[in-house]
Amino acid sequence: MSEIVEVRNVSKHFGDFAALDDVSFNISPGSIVGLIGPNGAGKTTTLKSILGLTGFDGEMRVLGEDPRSGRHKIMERVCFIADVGVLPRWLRVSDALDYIQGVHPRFNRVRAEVMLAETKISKRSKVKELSKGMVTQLHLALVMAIEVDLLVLDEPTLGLDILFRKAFYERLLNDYFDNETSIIISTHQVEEIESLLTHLLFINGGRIVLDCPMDEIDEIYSEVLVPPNKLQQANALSPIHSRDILGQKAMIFENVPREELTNLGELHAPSVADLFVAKMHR
Amino acid sequence: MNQLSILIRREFWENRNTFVLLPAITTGFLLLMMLLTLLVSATSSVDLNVEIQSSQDMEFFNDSMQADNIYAFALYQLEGRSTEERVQYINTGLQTLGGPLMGILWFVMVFYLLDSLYSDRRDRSIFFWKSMPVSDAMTVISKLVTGLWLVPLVYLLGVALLQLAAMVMLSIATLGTEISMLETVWGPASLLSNWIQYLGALLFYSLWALPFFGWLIAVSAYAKSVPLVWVVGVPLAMTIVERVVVDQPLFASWMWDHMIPISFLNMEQSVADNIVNLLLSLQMLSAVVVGGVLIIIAIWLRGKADEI
Repeated sequence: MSEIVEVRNVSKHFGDFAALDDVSFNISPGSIVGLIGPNGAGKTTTLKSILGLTGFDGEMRVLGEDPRSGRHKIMERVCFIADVGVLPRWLRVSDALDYIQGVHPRFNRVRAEVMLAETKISKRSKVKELSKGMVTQLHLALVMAIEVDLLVLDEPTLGLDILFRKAFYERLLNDYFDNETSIIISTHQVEEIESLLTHLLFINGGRIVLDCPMDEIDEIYSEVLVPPNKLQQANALSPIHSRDILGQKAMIFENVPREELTNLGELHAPSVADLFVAKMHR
Repeated sequence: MNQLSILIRREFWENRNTFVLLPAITTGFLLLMMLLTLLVSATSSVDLNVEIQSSQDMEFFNDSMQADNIYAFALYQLEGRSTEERVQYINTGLQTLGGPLMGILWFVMVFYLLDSLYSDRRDRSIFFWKSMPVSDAMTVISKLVTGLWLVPLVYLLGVALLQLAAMVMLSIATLGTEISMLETVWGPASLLSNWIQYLGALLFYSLWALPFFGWLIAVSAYAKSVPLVWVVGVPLAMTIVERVVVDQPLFASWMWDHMIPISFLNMEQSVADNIVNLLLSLQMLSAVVVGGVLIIIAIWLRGKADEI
């Protein structure tokens, strides 16, 4: 099956500032991609470009369509949750259900109602009467009742407490994800989604700095706890990052054969968070 | 079609206050006032002629007299008229009843269209609307259909209610008098043709003023702040520039002609004659073309729209 999203040499400039600078990547069917980067790295711009919500230079195909001209067609097969608060404040919950049922051919109303019934959200409520967490629950219930090929989540749990965040991702993985749906999640809280992901995309300063399947991470990257007496030897292999841990150095190496590293110290795969820090500093 | 109907419902959810509540309250208030004048004056006889004499174009009210209430007064006036005059006066009266609602309607239409593609960019809910499989053209069309045709219908309903109420009160005033309810009140009044004329005038105005409405919705899709300043400022600036450059302000007069309601009317003709004369005119064609272009620009701008 062909790629769900193909991005080729996409750039976007705001005046002199390059929000996206020659970005290319693919999203394959059935993958859960983490788009990870610091604030202002271009995460939201990337996702908005994919969704046809903003213009860009370069080439892009989302489900075979150019998002700049085919947004409304793409949206039949793609869902989007932005960071909290894009549901209009005046909208009543029951009206939201009516609306999506009216415009979306793939909306399963019963499913949405079942999910809403598990929350404290009243159908008579307006969005402005709900708490931040409830608005996200509502949006998730609406979106999860739509059968799509790609779900785009832009910092979906921003501003929510840890209980909501945990429940959100649990729900996402258990109730939503199957091997035919792809998900792309942007966040700067790496630890929370690390275990969900099948693919990593790091973005910084508008450029993709890492594009790698999760199961290849430990083949390419290694972290070694190097004791002080082997520092020189380790530095000769040019680690991409090193930090101090209890008198030793934790060093991350890229594409260095394991045999060369094992005699330096304790060897293991780096966490996504540490890899992220390493990549951002380069 | 299905999608359009739910999009229109969405517009009514968002604007329930100005689309439904405002005309309902205005109509209710006017009905109450009409009822009060009937009840209050029924108990105490009032001298009505001072007030009514002052309206000069209604010279037929000039006779000074005492009446129980304004309806009874109007009845005595009508009774002494020829049938033709009765028809004219009673229908003019009925049309006048629509004035307040029609005035409010104009402002509601203007501010609704001006806000329609602007406010959701401000509160970022544009991302929710755009995450639905609804084309930008459909979005803009749903707002135009709502603002130009459906909201006027709601207000027209209020006008019809007021007119019916006035007829009923006039009829009540005939009770206990020798005036014939049928001959003086219901006979000369042509309610149905009155409504059709109103409907025709509103439909006509929606096309005649399409440049204005197209301009409103284009600004609404474009402005990053204070859309009202754009809406007024640009035509004003163009008017001033034209004044300076040429003696004959053709463009400006065309523009204002298509902006201000009833400015196109030739007062010596009836509304219906006016409409028939202008419907197939070059002026009308120019209005629809310019309005259409502005609407296409609005759709294009909506496609590129982002949060602000």
